[in-house]
Amino acid sequence: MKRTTIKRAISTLAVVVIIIVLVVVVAAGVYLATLKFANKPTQTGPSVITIGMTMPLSGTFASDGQMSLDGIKLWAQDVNSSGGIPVKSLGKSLPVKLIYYDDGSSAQTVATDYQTLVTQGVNFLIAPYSSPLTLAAAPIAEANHILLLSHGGASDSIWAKGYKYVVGVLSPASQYMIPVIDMLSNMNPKPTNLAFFFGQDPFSLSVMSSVEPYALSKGFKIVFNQTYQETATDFTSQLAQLQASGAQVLIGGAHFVDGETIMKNLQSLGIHLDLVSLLVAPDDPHFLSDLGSLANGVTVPSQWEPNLNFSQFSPYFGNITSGEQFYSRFMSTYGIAPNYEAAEAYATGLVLEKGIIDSGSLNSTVVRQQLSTENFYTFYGHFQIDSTGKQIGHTMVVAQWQNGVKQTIWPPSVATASPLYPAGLQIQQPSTLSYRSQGLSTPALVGSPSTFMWSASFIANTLTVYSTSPSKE
Amino acid sequence: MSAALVAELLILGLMYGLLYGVLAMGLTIVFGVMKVVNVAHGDFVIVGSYLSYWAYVLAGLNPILSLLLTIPFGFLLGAATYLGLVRRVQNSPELMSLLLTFGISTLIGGLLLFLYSPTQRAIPIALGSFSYGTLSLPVNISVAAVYAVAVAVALRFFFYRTFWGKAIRAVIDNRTSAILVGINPDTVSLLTFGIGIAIASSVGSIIMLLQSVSPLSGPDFTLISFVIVVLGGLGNPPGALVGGVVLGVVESLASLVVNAAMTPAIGFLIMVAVLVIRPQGIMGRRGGD
Amino acid sequence: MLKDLLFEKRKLSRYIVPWAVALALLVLAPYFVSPSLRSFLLFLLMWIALSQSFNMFTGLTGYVNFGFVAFYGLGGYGMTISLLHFNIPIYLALIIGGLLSSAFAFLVSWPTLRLRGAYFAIAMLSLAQALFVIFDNWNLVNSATGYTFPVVYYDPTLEYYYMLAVAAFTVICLYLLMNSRVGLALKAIKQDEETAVSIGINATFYKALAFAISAFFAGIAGGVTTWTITIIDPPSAFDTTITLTSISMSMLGGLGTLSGPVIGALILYSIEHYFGLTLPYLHLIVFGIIIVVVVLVIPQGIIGEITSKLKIRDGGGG
Repeated sequence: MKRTTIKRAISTLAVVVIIIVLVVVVAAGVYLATLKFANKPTQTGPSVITIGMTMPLSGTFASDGQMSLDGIKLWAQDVNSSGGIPVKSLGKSLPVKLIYYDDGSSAQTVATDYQTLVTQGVNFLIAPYSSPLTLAAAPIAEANHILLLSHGGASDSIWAKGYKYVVGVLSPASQYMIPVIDMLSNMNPKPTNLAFFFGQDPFSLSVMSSVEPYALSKGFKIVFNQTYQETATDFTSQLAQLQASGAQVLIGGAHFVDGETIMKNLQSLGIHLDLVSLLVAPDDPHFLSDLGSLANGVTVPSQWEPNLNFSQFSPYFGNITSGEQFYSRFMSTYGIAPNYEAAEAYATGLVLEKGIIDSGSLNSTVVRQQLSTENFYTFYGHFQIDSTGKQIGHTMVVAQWQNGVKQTIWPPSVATASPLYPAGLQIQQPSTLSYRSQGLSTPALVGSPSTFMWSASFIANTLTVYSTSPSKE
Repeated sequence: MSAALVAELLILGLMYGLLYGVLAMGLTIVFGVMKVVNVAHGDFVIVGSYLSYWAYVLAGLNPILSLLLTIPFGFLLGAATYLGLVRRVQNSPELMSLLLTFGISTLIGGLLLFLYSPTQRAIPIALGSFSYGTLSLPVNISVAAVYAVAVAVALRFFFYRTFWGKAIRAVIDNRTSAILVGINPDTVSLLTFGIGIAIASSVGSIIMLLQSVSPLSGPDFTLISFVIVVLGGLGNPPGALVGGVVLGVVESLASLVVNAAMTPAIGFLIMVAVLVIRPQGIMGRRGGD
Repeated sequence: MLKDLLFEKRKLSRYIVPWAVALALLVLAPYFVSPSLRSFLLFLLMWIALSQSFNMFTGLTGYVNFGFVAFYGLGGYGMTISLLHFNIPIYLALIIGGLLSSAFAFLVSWPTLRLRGAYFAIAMLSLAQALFVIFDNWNLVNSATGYTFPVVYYDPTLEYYYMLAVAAFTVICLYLLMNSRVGLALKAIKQDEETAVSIGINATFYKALAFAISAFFAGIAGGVTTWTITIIDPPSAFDTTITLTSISMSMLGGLGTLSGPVIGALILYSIEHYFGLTLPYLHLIVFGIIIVVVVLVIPQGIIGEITSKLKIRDGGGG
């Protein structure tokens, strides 16, 4: 009796497993069938230029990814509203279609999603923001011979891998902090002690490895050199050591979130520095709205600033003739100011556009070949790549927050203001910083925590042996 | 490396240690009473953080004032979680309660992520620092430490001077005897879980003075609490405080010697070492559970 | 032991049929499916391999390994370094990755397997985190930058077959484990370790063995996955989501059963894949709910509940 029960049970199990497997295969077959006829060029040729990408819209690089995506979407919108991109080989202009997914700042998701994009049938690929994610997408583009444009992956290692289909629009990491060192060398009095505090990620480490020997060659001393875990939420113990090292200038950072944390920790330790130069973070307008007066004096190596104007150079490409024009286009579309991540993403669209127009083709190999001969200017700056696809034409500038306005301070030929130096961190007293709207309608009562502030200040003052002076520095 | 720097790091470590130690107390009493390891402990911290954040955004309440919200909210949330979910696995193998709270942890993280997106949230209050010559101590962590001490004192009073506090201690000590003298283990469990989550939630408010949070920040706090609880002995509240201070000081001072990014590894390795050498923790009792 | 196997053989033939059919379909798949679907199957097989290796230890011993991803990551790194630094051929590099994982498992089994349930879980979680931090700062393994594979190694079809092989071997090994002396011992340990020890079972040895075998397969799966996505860095190699997903899949299907994790992987990965693109935050909520519901309502998982109702043991077992 038991035997038959067991037999039946196993048979049931067997049937269950087989059914499930068969269902999967059939469903897959159906899916495959629908896929085969989607996005495939019709007999008369493609009707749209498909550009695929993922963007980190969540996770570590969320704010950077969002800026980049906004930039690219704006470009697509502008291209389509002016009739699309003329493709000589097809004899007509085609509109642009963007396909994008959120990769959650995960390399693994990037890999699977780009594979999906390739299968869906894209003409071109744009890389996700950040070096590690660009590196994750590159091999898939390469293996499928599809052009991959990097707008937010600057690490030099991307172009050291021998990829033939990856083109960089932005200045590589090795360029970032060089202008800052140049600027410091020109200061009077020239600082001597530098502190390096870079994040642990390929991009920042890449920047560090180029700026370190350069700084030493210019006669600076590096009195503090540590890296930090970007995902950590507090750097107080490391920054306390920086404080004790006698550094006058802090150079470092990585991306947005940790950059803000560094500033807050510096303030909570009461650290005085003549200059702070952080990667990426200070260029985002949220940096100012989050930190308020704490942002004052902070510098950032920048790929692009709104005051830049390249229209006098030729050949010049694109309907946007100045940085200011891009700034207002972006502002009126999205309601926030663009940072250089948005600009470089838009410029990437322009580069692709020019490549298609000049080569007359939608074939990645042809367009890639075309780009290697290109030498032109856009509102973003100069475009010219070397044989590996790395950007060699574009140059960096240095920007600084001065009283709530971001000024370009280096090189002198494009500067809108002279550097605020020594900039120092001025704030010692407790303060309320301006609040950034989180997409809510302006909070009616952003009550000032004044009672608390007063009592904290009172306690602080009565307990300290040496009272905090409001205008130190 | 000056004496002032070492002193500053020592004090910083002490203060962080107190804060996390108190957080760990919440975890350890839950284990002591119910033998449940709450893997979601850190996620409840984040719930409190978000509550404080929105209290600030919508009503201008600073994190200290929002404690008035997060403490009762945390208690009620804890009680509800206990009644609805945890109670059912109290008597199952430990594997089950571990997995259940793990599921709750995932769920909380997912809900927060879904509701509030992954954007980091911070309350933009800057408190400056106290300066003593070359020494400077951030005001915010000092406030956190004061809070931690206040909680520890309050808990001490609760556990030693009130009926239910003593009942909880009795159950931690010897569950069977406690039942025999007429203590209702279910009520005790309910109270304990509520208190544990209330502590976590309140620490969430305080955390907003120190750093930003995102929906997935929870497990970091859980992990720190775990390490401390192991150091101090599972089910041993004063041990948790001591363990917290030890961990805080060691990690802080370790940053002088190794790259600070590595200090979490040191904490973990210490914990594993303690588990091997003295599994009951620094202050735990030998034998029993 | 041979006698045990022989005794099972009568049931074996009937039982093996569905598995053989599934295997045959999967072997033939690349010839008639699209690359996108093949990619889907590849990652499905990866999750099958991972949840089965998780099952191999946690399902059989009842110890929850919250640091499971450590095995995956170590396998990935072991394979990558062998391949890129020492030019060892891929199949060998994968084995080395697996062995590295096993070695690590053996190493930590001495201090950790002496610990009871909750302590063990916490210790393993911390160890995985410690590994992440160490690798992130260790220049010898390229710290935060990690490694990327040159294009030459990119071969999706080959990668698919490797992953299929890994998944198949994991299932086979689990079956053998469950039906052997070792499986019998582990079953006794899971039920009541103290009693098992008292009747002379060397618990430490058997637990360490299951631990190391679990690590081996997880390591190889990690190696193949790294090869497929061509990039490895500490955040992706020691991503705790991998542990989370493996746990969810095995639990849903049934810890301690043979086909459970396969079913669990199938269901959960399909959900994640088809909805993950459009609703990226939802899958965490789904996983969380699944774990909670499984624990409270069907603690033995789908297959576990079915087989216990029908009073048979899935996969045989002593």
